[in-house]
Amino acid sequence: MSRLPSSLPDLTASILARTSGPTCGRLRALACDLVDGALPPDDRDLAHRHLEHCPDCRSLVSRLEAASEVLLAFAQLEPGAEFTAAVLSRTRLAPPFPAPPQDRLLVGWARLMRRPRAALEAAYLATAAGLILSQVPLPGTQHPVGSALVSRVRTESRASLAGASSRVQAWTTRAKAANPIRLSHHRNSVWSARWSRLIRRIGQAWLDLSNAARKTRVRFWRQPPTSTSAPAEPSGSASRSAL
Amino acid sequence: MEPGVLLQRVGAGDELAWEAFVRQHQGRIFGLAYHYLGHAEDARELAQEAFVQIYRNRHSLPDDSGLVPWMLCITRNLCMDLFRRRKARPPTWDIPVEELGHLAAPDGDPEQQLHDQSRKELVHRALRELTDLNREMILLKDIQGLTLDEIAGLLGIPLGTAKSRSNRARLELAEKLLARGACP
Ligand SMILES: [Zn+2]
Repeated sequence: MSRLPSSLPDLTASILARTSGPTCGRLRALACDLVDGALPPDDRDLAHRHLEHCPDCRSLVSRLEAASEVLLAFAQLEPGAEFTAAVLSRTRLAPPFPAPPQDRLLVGWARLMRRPRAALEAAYLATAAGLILSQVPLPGTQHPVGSALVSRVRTESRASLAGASSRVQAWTTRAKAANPIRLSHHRNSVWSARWSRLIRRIGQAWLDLSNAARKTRVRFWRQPPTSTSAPAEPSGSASRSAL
Repeated sequence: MEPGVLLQRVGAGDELAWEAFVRQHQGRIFGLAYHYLGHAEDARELAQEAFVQIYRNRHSLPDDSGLVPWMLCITRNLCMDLFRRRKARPPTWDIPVEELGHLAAPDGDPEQQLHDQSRKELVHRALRELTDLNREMILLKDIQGLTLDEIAGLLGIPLGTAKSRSNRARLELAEKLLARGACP
């Protein structure tokens, strides 16, 4: 060795340079946690010992510390005097918060069922449909649809329709009771759990109802009355049969 | 007023509570938008849009601890939409540095204020030189103070990735400051 190191840190550095890996790289990996106070005590102690003797790493850590302090001050900027008024005028014009779809469905149903004449209107419609059907002849025959249809509907679907309609009635009662004036969307969610339970039941009741209707239709058209020799159902009358 | 009470009153449709809410959070929303976009007027417009979206959801605001990350997420998404819709124009950072942040007490020692001013100036210049990815990490973690968990959720990345990106960004910023010679 031609020349002795002039001071102790230089000696340490030159020993480290010849014996160890990249200690500054290791410090660099710990530097952010060190600044955040998130290092375990042993690592913190070792890091501080390195910093005592390494000006480069000291500079790096001091910049990290300074930057952390200054950056926090950038979080909020003054948007200008007109900003709040501009937001308020835009939100005044914003359309009202739309109720989620399930709530809208429930509101609509509850409103419909609360109409005093709803039951009367339903009975009127059913009677009218019955009258019309009893006068329309079955395709290819002189027999009115009504006599065959009404008796089949009566015998085959009474049970399932009754079951479904009692469910519909039950959830209508609930919708009206739970929703005396108007529905509001609640943030906290005992209510929203109840809503979703109710909605599941509504869905089930609707499914039952449509299954019953389909079953009736399928059975009726698959077994035409034996007294007629009806030809295959013309497609044009399908829509009427769906009535 | 407790933050929770304010939120409840906003949720109940109290317009005065909504005004107080806007005043309380507008600096943060505008700040985030400005640091993403680099144009004060664009940031103002975008921050207003963010408040309209928040208003539309006022009946189902997150609770107090989740509120800020949620609002920042809305703002960031609007910024990303804007970047996608129009060709991103290079940020001009048109707000004078002395108007950025509130580091010094207004009645503090003038010399101290000058010192604070130059620190802000230095850090802001270094921030502008970062890559977009690194600047976003600094923006979310060191400026807005989100936790690494919240950032990972916001960006849809694993926690470990969020942590290593954040460290890399901070080191890059520190090196930019080192390269400028002065310590802020
Ligand atoms: Zn070192």
